[in-house]
Amino acid sequence: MQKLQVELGSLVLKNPFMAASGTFGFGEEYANIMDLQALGALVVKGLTLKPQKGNKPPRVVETPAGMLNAIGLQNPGLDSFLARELPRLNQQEIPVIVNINGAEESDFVTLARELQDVPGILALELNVSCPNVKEGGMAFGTSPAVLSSLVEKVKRVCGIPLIVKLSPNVTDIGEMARAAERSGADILSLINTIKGMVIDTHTARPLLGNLTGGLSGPAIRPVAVRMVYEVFQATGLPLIGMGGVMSLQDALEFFMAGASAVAVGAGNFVAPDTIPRLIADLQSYLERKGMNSPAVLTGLAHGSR
Amino acid sequence: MFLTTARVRKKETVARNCFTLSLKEEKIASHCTPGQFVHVRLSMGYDPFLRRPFSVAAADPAEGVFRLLIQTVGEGTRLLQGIQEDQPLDCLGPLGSGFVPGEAPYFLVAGGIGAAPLLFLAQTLSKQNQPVRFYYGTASEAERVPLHAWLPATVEQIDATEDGSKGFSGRVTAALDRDILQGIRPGQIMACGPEAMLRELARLNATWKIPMQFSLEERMACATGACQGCAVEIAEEAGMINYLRVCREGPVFEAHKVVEFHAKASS
Ligand SMILES: Cc1cc2nc3c(=O)[nH]c(=O)nc-3n(C[C@H](O)[C@H](O)[C@H](O)COP(=O)(O)OP(=O)(O)OC[C@H]3O[C@@H](n4cnc5c(N)ncnc54)[C@H](O)[C@@H]3O)c2cc1C
Ligand SMILES: Cc1cc2nc3c(=O)[nH]c(=O)nc-3n(C[C@H](O)[C@H](O)[C@H](O)COP(=O)(O)O)c2cc1C
Ligand code: FES
Repeated sequence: MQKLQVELGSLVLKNPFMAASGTFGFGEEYANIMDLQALGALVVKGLTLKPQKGNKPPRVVETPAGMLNAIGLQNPGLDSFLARELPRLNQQEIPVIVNINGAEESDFVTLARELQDVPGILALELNVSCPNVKEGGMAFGTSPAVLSSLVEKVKRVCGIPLIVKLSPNVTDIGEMARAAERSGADILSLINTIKGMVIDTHTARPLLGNLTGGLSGPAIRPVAVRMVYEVFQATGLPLIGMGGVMSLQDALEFFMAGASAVAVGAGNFVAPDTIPRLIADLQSYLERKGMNSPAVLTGLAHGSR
Repeated sequence: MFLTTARVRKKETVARNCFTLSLKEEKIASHCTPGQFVHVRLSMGYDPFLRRPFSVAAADPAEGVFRLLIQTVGEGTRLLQGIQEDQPLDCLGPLGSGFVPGEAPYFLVAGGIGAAPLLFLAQTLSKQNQPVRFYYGTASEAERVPLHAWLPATVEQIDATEDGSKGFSGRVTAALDRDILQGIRPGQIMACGPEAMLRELARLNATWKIPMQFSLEERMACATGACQGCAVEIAEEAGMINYLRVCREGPVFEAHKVVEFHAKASS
């Protein structure tokens, strides 16, 4: 048996495959289909301080090789997460990463402070890239100065690894990555969804209740791979790559571009057994290639820089 | 909920743009209840990308077979129509929360392809010796699925077509209203069909005041409850209005709680 364990700084995962935030709920839904303990990590649905109602439907629509979503961060809020969801996840020994969201800096700081010393949480993922909420969301992830200030404040209260999730809706993602690194981010994850729109030609109106949504799935994979490649060159931080991963082949692209771990989002909806399949396929790939760790793959596409 | 591969036992065209699939899959056949659905993967490539939801229209646990009744409306259903007998079909299910028993007699109201979940319900209720009337409305006769192949003999079927080519001439909701005005009253109404039909039922029920359950449709991604994509506004106890998931808390909801129909019906 090949060892699949990976280390992203001080964050140690038993394998490099995670469920991307917002696509696996709080784990409950897929428990019948797979052993959730097998996940490298489960990044839970974007959490806010107070419960969020979410956006007006329709919230999802299929697009070529992908989908748009505009959920609007519907979630039960911090108190309910701590009282109901987390104990269940902990009891099942599922490695949990919490994706945190806010309208103001103080929301993120409060969430980070409350969560960072709760047992059973491996890391926090700062979502500064949600395209589907009016306040906060992506606004924090599209200006280097705003991002820096936020990351610095959150880092100050956060004693566990801090992941900053970057938005692809920027001109220069390398610049955002450097801003996050300078301000104390431990790990970067990318990419969040790309802002898009579908028009309903029968009604001549945007189809989604929120008008715009975030594009994910194989349609965005080349964009995501390119961004991981650029961020790998721009910073020295460990990276979590995502965007349209459905097969080992897809995951290998991300590893080679520079990712140390890979998350699966929309792919779970199409093939709920994607992550267990990736784990098994990576195992046999490494054996076949005589590689002793997934880490060997990270950044291979950059040659000997 | 199971992620499994079903085998196509039989495919049959039953009306214009409408076909049935008999699928051999023991786990789904023995666990599904009326109102539940399966989420079907139509392509091993990316086009179409997402799975498609279809209600279970019949189940025979002894045979390990369940049936779908499908109307061809777009790319995904067209692909499914092309499937051959004996081919595998990737199914996730059974999913969702189905119909909840009420008070007899049961009146089931189906608009077009909305008949699918109600056929399963009619079969199940009949097995429990519950009296059932099945109202079935379509635009014209050409769209009509021959329901006698699905419905037990004890179920009374009331036909309605908008063009009058078969049965009552007009909307199925008008046929039901006529009967209720004549004192033929159900203890419980269960309905599935186009939005306009459900809206009209909600409006008429302001007068009838009969317990009523609707099976709703919404665009879905995961269909397991994980993504919150299929939200519908539901008025819960204590006046709280929340977005619930059609794929999880639904697809069946008590009609008076569905904010969309309720608000417009009473305005
Ligand atoms: C719980 C549930 C049960 C259903 N049961 C049945 C059934 O028993 N028989 C049947 O024929 N149809 C049923 N439908 C509708 C069926 O899912 C759609 O007709 C089908 O997805 C259309 O796919 P398409 O690719 O042919 O059409 P397209 O219009 O090309 O589909 C494009 C996208 O829109 C979505 N979509 C289109 N129409 C609907 C709709 N009415 N509801 C939800 N999503 C839609 C599709 O899933 C897809 O993502 C059900 C829907 C739901 C939500
Ligand atoms: C339905 C849905 C909900 C999502 N919700 C969140 C969220 O709450 N927080 C977040 O950081 N990202 C969220 N995302 C983005 C994903 O985590 C991921 O970054 C993106 O979908 C790209 O990966 P994919 O192509 O594999 O889906 C969501 C994506 C989808 C499809
Ligand atoms: S479709 Fe994902 S929650 Fe219902």
